[in-house]
Amino acid sequence: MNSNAMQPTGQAADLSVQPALVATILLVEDEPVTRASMAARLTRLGYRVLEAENGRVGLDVARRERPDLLVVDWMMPEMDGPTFCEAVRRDPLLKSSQLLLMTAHDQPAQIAEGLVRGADDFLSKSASKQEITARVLAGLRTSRLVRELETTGDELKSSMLLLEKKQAETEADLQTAATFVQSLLPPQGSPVHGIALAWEYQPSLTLGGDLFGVMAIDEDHLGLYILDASGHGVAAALRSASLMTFLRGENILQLLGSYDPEKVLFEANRRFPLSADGDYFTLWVGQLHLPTGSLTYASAGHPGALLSSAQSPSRWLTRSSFPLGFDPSARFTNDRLGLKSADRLFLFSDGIYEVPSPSGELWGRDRFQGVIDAEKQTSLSATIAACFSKARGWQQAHHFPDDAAVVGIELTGGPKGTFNG
Amino acid sequence: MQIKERTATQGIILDVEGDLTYANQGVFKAAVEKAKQTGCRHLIVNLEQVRFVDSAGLGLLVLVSQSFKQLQAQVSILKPQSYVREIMSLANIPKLIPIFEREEDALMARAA
Amino acid sequence: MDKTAVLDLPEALSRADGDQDLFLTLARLFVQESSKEAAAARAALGRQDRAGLTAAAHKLKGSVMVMCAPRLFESTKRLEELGRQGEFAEASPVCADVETRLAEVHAALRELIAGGFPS
Repeated sequence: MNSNAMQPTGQAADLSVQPALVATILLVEDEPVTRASMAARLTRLGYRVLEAENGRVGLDVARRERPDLLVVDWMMPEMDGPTFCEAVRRDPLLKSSQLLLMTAHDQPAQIAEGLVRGADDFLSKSASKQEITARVLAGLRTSRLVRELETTGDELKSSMLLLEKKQAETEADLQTAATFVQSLLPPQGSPVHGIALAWEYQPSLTLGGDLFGVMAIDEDHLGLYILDASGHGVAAALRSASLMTFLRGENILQLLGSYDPEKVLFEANRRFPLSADGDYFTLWVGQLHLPTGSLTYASAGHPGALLSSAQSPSRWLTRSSFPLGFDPSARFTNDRLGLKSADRLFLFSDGIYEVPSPSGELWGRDRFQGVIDAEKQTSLSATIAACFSKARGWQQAHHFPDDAAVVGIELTGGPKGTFNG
Repeated sequence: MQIKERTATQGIILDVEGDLTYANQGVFKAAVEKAKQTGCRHLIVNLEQVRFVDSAGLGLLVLVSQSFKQLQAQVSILKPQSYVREIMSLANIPKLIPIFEREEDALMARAA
Repeated sequence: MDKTAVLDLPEALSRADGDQDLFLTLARLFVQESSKEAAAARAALGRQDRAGLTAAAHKLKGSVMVMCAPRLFESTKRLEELGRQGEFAEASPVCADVETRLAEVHAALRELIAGGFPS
């Protein structure tokens, strides 16, 4: 390698700078006397000067040293100045370098060609000290700016990559949580002999806050509930999962001895007060006595229970009541009714009926009720599928803005009119 | 959402304008806190200019009512629009927080 | 540049930013290198090598500029032009002129190197 760096000879530098901040200039010039002269003049100005006697060597040194400025002679054998500039611009490592092309004469045509082929500025070989200083300073200023931009660009890129990675991790975590919550929902199919169960659940986000349960409490009783957490997002979903855990059959049985709805609500009301932000639950609880078909139920502000009988019009099973946490001393009252074979009980979240049409009109509970009534002859799961399909048709969109859940149970034992499995 | 505070002889009236929702809870909470600091015995929330209250908004009203009760103070609601009134009925709010149609009635109620 | 002088010393010194020591260092280098370039030009002319003649003349011209030798500069510049045009016949006497002027410049520079700058 034939380049040699001229060491500062101890002459007074015009710029008093800390060694670490001295700019590096690479001089590419084949003629030795010119090279020596220019190198000396630049060194005198306080810069660290590297020399290369031809373009090929110049590129090597540039890649290794990453100089702040490259001063290049126009006319050189093998690789002339403009060709060198083109090579620099093609090199991903060097392409944003500051290139000063040295000319013997200032010809406009030459300057135009130099610019097109990649030079940033020009310097006459016979330039005065002032002119050299001015050109070099301008070039170094630009070089510094370009480097700052590149660093910021790089930092932005790594920040973006980091963000994307974290986002992917969060999505994965949410998905894991969602899968777990889904696993707590009742399995499809019959929970006990004589009862058919079907449900469909479309959380608006990965994690949903409207949850439900259907479970055998003991050999004679089936427990059911549907809950809704106020608010949206992960926080609401987490609170729901927490209440859901409380409402597990084994837990309630151990705590209260039965799944008596008014007792369950009383207890839940005590244990789940308003949060510091005013968050709360609405909850509907039912207990079905399997041998007799007697349904006991109570609600804390949740209006989503509908009874559909073969022979009578469907009816809402709800009364005006406080959501959990509104009144810490609230008492809840059971209602009772007898279910018969082929009767269907639907529990559902407001997300299935509070869907707006494109013009903003809500589908509403009445239309939902209409679908339940219309589908009496079809299977339970087909009826539920029809609810979702009609709701989607109404809003003319596939995705539900709020968690949409519909759970249906049907009494399947014995001839119609009796229920004694 | 904007809230203006008015002082009456028997309490403070918050004139709420906009939607009482999750997004605006900060503004509402701040206004309530400010009224509380004055040792107000009766806070009247005027919902005449409120078109919409979501579940978070309901929860906030109840929360405020509960916290005022703890201080032996009172919260009332004034002139809810019909849609808002319906939402509040479904959650049984009237049993918890008195609702008035006229400001004089609300102010009188506390005095009683 | 004063076109009549062998060496335009004030200009040359100015191009070395007033540094006499630097100029003398460059002068020594010039004496060494310019002989090589002149010989290369002569050889290229001999074998009618257009590119070679042009390159050698150009290189010599560059170093001559540093020394600020006006008559030699003009000659070298002419040689480069003729080389570029491929005018070997015309180039021959010009090349001889370059060699003569170069000898003059060498003499002047050696004097300077030995005796220092005139005060």
